[in-house]
Amino acid sequence: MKAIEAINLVFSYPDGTRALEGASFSIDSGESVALLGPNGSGKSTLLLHLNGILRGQGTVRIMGREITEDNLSWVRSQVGMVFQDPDDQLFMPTLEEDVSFGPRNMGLSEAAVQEAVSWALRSTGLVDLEAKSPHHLSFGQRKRAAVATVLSMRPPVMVLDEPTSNLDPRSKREVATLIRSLQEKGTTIITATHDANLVPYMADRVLLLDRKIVADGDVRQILCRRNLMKGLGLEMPLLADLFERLREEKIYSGATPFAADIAAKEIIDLLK
Amino acid sequence: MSHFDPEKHSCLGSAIHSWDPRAKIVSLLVLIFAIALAGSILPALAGLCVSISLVLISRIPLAHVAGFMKWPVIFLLPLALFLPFTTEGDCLYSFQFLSVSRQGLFFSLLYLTRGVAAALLALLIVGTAPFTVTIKALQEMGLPASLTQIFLFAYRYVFLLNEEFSIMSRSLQCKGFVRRSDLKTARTLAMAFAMLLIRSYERSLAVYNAMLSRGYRGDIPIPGRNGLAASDLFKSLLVLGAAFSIMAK
Amino acid sequence: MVHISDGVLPGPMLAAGFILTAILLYYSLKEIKAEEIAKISLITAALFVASLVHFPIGPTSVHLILNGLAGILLGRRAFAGVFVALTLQALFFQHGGLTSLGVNALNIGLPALLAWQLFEYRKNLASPRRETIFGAMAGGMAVLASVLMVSLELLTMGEAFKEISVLVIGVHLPVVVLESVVAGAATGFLANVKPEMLAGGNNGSFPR
Repeated sequence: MKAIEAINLVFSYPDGTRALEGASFSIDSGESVALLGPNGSGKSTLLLHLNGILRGQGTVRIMGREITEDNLSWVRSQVGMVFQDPDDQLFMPTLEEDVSFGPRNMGLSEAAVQEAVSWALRSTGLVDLEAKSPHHLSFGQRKRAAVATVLSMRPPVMVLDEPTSNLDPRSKREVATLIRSLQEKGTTIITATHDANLVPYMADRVLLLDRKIVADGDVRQILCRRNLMKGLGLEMPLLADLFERLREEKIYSGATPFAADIAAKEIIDLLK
Repeated sequence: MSHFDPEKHSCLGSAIHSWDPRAKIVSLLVLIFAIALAGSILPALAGLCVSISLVLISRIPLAHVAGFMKWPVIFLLPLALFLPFTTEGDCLYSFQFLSVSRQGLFFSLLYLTRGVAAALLALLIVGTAPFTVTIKALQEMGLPASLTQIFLFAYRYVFLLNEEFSIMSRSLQCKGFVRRSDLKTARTLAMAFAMLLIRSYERSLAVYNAMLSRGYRGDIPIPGRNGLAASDLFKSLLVLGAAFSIMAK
Repeated sequence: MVHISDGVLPGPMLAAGFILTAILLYYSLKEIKAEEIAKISLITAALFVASLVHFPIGPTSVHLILNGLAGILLGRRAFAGVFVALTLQALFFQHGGLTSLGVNALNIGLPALLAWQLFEYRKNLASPRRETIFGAMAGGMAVLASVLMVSLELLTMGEAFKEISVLVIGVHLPVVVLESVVAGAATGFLANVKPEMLAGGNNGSFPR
């Protein structure tokens, strides 16, 4: 089943900036997809279309149902959106109130709200911090808290805008692991990111956006295409870059490794 | 304000902290009004004693309290210093054209006592519970929902915007800006204020999107609260009793 | 001193302050839309932060009140913003007091509404600098009105308050000038960069 289907999205901001020029794609239920594109390519604009915050020309279908004015609250219970700046997302004075905000709006019983909150806090490693105010949390904790506020609604689809930006390396890996574990539980995930090195750890498929979808395919297939990536001003994962160069020099012919240990093994084999 | 933490002592677990917020707010407000309207110095001093006792019971560190109490004193001081000289009455002491009157001294003492006692109790209301608990209790007692939300969000973002503004001031300092009593300072700070306002406006749009994304339709549901316990009523009865005896004097 | 502390004003005046404040709050929040709440809250928070900033005047320093700017930005919602900001100040900074909250909200919030009305007249002036000019007028007027209201209230307390009433006006005259400059410059800048932020701007999200 298709979880998200976007057809020919066109959107301009009131000041005339053209943000989307006919973007189309679809994502199957249970997939984890990375959305890559340079600044100004329309990533955030595209994401805001997926739960009906922005509505330009074109059609968006969630679980096969087209987003209309009348089903917005259903759409927002299906598509959870994590914004890039956690201070936009954490608008309540305490973490507990923020994480319970969504479930309460969905009209869950108090017991169900509490259960959802504690599950979301556990999944993001924020147990015992629920009484804290956002300004008492570290940036990394706020980023994870932003995810928790959406997780507590248990949406079948999650949309994350730059969930790893400005995080230290360990926190980045934790976010990637979290995304994978959510996917394993059946959540469909679309993540906008600049962290090419991290993409293989959190997604199976890549969409390249430059106001429209310019490439769509398997992680390996897209991230290794130097001309495509460089043409958009994006960086290739370091190991992919290295092994593609070796391939161009006809030194290497195997599959491109994305993890250091596999790459090391390949290099040792080459040296032998 | 960077180290400002009003909720630092909001979870101490004293008899005041465990008091139901609705009963606490109503009782302490009645006491505040009783003290602020006390007609003479004795009931006002009695009120001050009650206030100090309640603060001691709350176990909020006195250093913390003292830090806050300087403000009502600063605000009341001009009044307290003027009145002894400007009030007509029995002359206690005179120096050239200035004379201190007994009635004036009485008024200035009265205002100071009432002001400090009332401020102590206000501190007690917010100091003994997280702000959201206090504000939601007010909503349960009739504060309009829209106003409750403005309170919650404004309170949340004051801290963040204060941080943003200190970063802006620091970067102004790095560019050699020094605050002086001149037009240039006023204009520069006006630009900094304008930038802060633009950022907060833009953030408000993003916050609204985030709220919509999590199903916001205009109100924030508040979980139900239990009824008042006997201990809540007992505490209220004690405080209200004190308030009424101050009023009766 | 623009905030009147607890323990000074007589009961009837406190009561009148609360009644009028309740009426103006009702007017200020009438027909409020969900999308306005975040804007009012954030602008209120920003003005709150700005009002904590020290301005040196000679050997001392002053805080701005910024109620004129509140009116210019929030229009009719300014009164609610002022009420919230003053409550937070009374609770967390012990500026003003809870018993005098009604009177203080009136003293600061009513001039904010007047500043908004005055600022609306800019539309009759065909000058590229009209926002700066009317912003300065509204900003200065709002503080002046607040100071006069405080001063009048103190004056009603009796002969003994005559000198202090005059003193309140005197010490605030520099603040009036300062607020006027700041409000004018800030409003002029916003009119160029983000005109939709000004009350009755162009998207009508803050109703006239």
